[in-house]
Amino acid sequence: MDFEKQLEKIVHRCMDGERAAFEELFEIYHPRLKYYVRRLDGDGSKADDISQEIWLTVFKKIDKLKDARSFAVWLYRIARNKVYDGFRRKDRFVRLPEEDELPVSGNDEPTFDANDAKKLHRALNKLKDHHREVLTLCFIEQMSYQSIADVVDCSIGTVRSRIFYAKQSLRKEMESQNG
Amino acid sequence: MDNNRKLFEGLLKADGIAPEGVSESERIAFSKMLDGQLKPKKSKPVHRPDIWRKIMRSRITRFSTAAMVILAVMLSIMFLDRSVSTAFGIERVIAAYNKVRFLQVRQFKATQEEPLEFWIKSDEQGNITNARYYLPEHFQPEDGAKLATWTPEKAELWFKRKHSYLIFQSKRIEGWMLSLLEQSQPKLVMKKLLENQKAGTVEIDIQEPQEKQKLATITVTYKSKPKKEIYYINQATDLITHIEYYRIEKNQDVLDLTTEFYDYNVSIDEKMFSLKDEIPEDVTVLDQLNQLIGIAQGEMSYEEAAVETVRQFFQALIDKDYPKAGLIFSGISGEKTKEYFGWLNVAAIISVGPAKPYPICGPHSFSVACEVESISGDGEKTIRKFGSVKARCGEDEMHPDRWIIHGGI
Repeated sequence: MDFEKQLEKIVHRCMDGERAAFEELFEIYHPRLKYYVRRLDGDGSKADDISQEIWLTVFKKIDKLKDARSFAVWLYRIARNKVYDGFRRKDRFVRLPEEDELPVSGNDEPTFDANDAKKLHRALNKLKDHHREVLTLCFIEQMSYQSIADVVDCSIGTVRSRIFYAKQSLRKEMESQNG
Repeated sequence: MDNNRKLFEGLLKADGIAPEGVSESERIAFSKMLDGQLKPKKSKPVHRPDIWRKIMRSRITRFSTAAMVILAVMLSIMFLDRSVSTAFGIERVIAAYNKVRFLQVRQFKATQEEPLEFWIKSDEQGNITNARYYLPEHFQPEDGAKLATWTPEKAELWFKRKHSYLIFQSKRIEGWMLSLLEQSQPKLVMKKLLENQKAGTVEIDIQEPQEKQKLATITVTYKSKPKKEIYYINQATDLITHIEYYRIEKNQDVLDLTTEFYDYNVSIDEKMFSLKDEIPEDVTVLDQLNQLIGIAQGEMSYEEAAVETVRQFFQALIDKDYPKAGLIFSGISGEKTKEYFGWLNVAAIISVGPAKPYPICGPHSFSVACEVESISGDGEKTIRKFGSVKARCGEDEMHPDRWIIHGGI
């Protein structure tokens, strides 16, 4: 059975209140969720507390999830809201939508080698918040542009251009690390 | 292993996170959380905002509230004691609301746990004079949860997640706020029902049980729409306790919404109808009521005005005239403007425009692209591109000919 089908079944079991299913879900998603939360939460000091709040919300509200297949988007939306609620990111309100929806060709989009993961991780932390966020979702969940748009609450065009520019910035950052 | 999987694992490891599974301490913490949650749930106490608790801590308020409860009981007795009784029905329910000045409303969507809440005060003619709203995140997820207050003179909106507080008077938003109340103000709901009954668009079934402690019901079925409403009415007071809204699918009634009514004629402290004492000190204030915001349109076309708004905003940043930039940026303070945009250190405007219509934010809303040169702390020049700065004016707003930059709220 492929991962999506398996996940769908686990989510359905969670909706029925089955404890073991929640534990399975936690095993699958907690590590990557923690990574995502740390990328959004500047110094990452509150990541554990926030993660706990996220799982509590998942537990309380999973029966309201309309489509088990959209679990990942739903989960990351909760995570994102918890981070912003907790830290009241002031700059989120005023930061102008730099580079939003600029047309991109997509042909010269950089790709990244998994052997460079350490460098990539360091470089990721130096990107702008909104660039780091979309790339994190892209790298750790391989989410579609549409799903990322659903998580970060913007248009698919914005996601496309953000990822394009984020990858370029990431590439530059990695090159500067190489000297 | 494919590159994606390897990349995912590599990133997590680089952050000190084991990609497969979780640590024992995390597992224990999660297990404890599940233990706590899987216990039988007790019924939850009704949510009230912090300000309510603060107000209720005051002895004076407790005393006056107690007095109002006694008054409410007396009113109930007056209702019970009435010797002249009109035939039970919609008119009688409407008449009962003539004596209601205060009430609280909760509106539950069937698919959501957290209700919308309203606190309403009316005058002797039944017109709404003050209202307070709590709109949870699911109502408009892009905004997050909101608290709002409304009077004919002033409206306040506190966007909790966005940490911003808007003071304004706007017919457009006022219309939206009042339309929310119209669905929740029982007297208006019943008047609408009476109109529908007279127009013959609904079928109405009234059940008035002999046992007066039981609730009477008015069941309304729409002739040309697949929907149904059930109104539950306290026979002692003729006041509605709750309304259930159904849609009809394949001959089945599917519950969409329940509106519950509480605390009839329990006085609501005036403090509840303003947010100024509740908002955090560091919230971003957008005062569009007590200052002249934006730039005047004058003889410019809409497109020209949109471009000019964005140009003047960046020019004010170049001039370090943060109060002016703040007035253009939706009316935030100069201090906040400096905090938010000072770091940009804009040195020159390279290009502004053209303006493209952006009707989602109103009929005279435009998206303006622009490029500016900014200088970093170490003196390096950077070209910054802003693909879509939103500028608009609103004919129905307080300042109909003034243009502002908006966004983020």
